[in-house]
Amino acid sequence: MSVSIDARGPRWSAAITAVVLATALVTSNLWVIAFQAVVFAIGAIRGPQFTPYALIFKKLIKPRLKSEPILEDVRPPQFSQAVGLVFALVAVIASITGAGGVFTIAVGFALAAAFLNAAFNFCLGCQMYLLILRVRTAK
Amino acid sequence: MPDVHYAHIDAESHLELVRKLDIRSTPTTLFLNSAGVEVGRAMGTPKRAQVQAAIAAIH
Repeated sequence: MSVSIDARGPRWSAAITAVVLATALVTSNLWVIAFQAVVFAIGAIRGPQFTPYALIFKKLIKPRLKSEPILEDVRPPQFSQAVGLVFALVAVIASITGAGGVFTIAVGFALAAAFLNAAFNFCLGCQMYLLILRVRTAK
Repeated sequence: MPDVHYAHIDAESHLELVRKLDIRSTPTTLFLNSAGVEVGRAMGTPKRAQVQAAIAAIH
């Protein structure tokens, strides 16, 4: 049995992630995307329930929510944090090397995924997770 | 509902079954009748009404 987390947490985190990524996209600021890359790294390595956004959710948002917590497996959202990290790292490298087009595309993809998750509770990375496992082991 | 049984299966440790049943994401809930035949499925966490409708359809 793997770890389960409150499914409302990642959606909240995705909302902040979308705001941070939109800020990065508009300002083209290296430090904003670098900060988000660190957040993704924490989410990918330690788990999405340990990011600063998740801590805000736990301390401030969760006690105020009236809906019943829905538990979900931590592995799909953790995988999507890793996908986010890849895009953020590409954007960081693009920012340092002055590849503006690559920066815009990488941040844009990550922003689109975060927005889908926040607005429609549709986690793109989570959907990819089991499909990738299926393909990878189908030999 | 004492005649309803619930079983939790970890998808990742049963990938063969995942492919066979064409499970695309977790969680997926399969509704089986007493003969073990799938009569419906819910992708994502099923809503209460969804579960009630599925169980009512089996009865």
